[in-house]
Amino acid sequence: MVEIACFVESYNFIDSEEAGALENFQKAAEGLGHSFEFITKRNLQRIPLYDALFIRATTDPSYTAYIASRMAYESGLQVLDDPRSIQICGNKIHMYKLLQKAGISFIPTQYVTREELNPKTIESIFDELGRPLVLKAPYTSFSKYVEKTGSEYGFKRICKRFFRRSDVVVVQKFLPTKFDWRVGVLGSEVLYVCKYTIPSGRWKHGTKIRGSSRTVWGSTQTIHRSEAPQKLKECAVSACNAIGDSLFGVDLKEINGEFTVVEVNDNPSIYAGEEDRKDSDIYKKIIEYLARN
Amino acid sequence: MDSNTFLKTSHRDSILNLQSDYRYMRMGYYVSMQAEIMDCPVIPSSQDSLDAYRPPIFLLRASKRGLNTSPYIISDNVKDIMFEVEFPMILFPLHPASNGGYKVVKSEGSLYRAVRSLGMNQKYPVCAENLFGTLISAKCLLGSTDNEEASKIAEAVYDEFKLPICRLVLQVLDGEPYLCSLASVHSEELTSEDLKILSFRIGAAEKDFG
Repeated sequence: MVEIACFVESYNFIDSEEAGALENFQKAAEGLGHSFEFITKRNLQRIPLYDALFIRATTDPSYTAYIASRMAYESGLQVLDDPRSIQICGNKIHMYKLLQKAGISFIPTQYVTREELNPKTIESIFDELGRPLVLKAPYTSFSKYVEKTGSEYGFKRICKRFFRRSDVVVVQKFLPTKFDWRVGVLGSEVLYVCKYTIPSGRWKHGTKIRGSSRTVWGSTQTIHRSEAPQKLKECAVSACNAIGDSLFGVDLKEINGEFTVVEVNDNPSIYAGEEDRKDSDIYKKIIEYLARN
Repeated sequence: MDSNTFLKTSHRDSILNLQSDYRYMRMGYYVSMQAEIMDCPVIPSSQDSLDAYRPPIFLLRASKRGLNTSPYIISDNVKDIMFEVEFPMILFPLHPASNGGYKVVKSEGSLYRAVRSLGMNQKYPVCAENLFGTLISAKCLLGSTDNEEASKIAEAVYDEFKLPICRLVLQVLDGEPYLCSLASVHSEELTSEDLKILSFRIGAAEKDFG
């Protein structure tokens, strides 16, 4: 029997679908004869007492989840997400540079440093990537800190905001599509395939309503992994292999039958009735991965 | 070579990164990250930079190496902290914007206030350490410091984390130093004497690339 700790924060239980997925993980673990307990930032020091750690709280090298992952790794536990994956996927610059090194096709991307924020640089980036373009803070997650602009003023204003936390900002070509593919991958194996649709009148899956704390999300359409395009799955797995061996959610755009990577994310969302709708064995596969060794 | 130029080159030699701030997403961090992506040996590594500025991980790795560390607890709960750590205590924030600062607290009331402010209204936990000695800080340059009480431990910390420029926060009891945390050094804090020490020790640092 393997004793599995699941690191969560209180917000993981707000959405009933997310809470449902956590319950499914627990059932899968217990069904396989393992124990599964939730731990929080209040009892991080109990991590070495377990055999494996599964992180469901939002990961970022600046967040508590990274401390949990690093503590687990140092204590010899099997850990998802491992600290290296959090380090790479938590910073989009790191992630894109590794994709580039591995020759993976991803959205045309440039990087801007604080010192380079001048009219000449901005103009040359617009010339190269077109107008409008997308500015992305390296620490983006859940579609936050991703903004579109077609003006030099907007470019400067967004960059200055993102520079508060990072000395480098990502700039990308704007490629509008009706949906992004999301492929869940664990250890080079495709777990699930979805389409994350873009809400009507918007340009990204999750858009914050101006002047409100509310976010509008597009729907999730799930298809059997066996029925997903082979080329899509190959592209997603190649992208993950450039990053590491862990649990990833790869976002891809399909343009004229070709697939190009938008992002590789660690700690991908898993909501009951969404990502698991067609391939319900994802819980069992993840628990088995945690329980190996 | 300046960092902006370096981020755009395909330079392939060993890199001794002398940006004084290696905190996550600062230029010093990106320089090490870029070097690693190009497969260049680099000091410090991006992983060591991440670990060194996070007090619980810094203390965990230092204690695994056999260095004296202050006992600590990570929590957002005042009662739990008081159960594990005696007053006075030193509190380090663990939120994303933390900058190496800390608060010393001596009473339950000040602990409540500190946990709330350092934890951003208990969104993040804090790292609480028992303060049993005299608190000192030591500027360290490639493992050397002019603070005699800290000189041996500074060398050992450099061997473990390889941060060329940093500030150690320690407490000293009966002449024995105990690590509390590690912070960055602002470039304006580097004196001309510090720059001379760095130049003098750069040659010796070559052995650190293994």
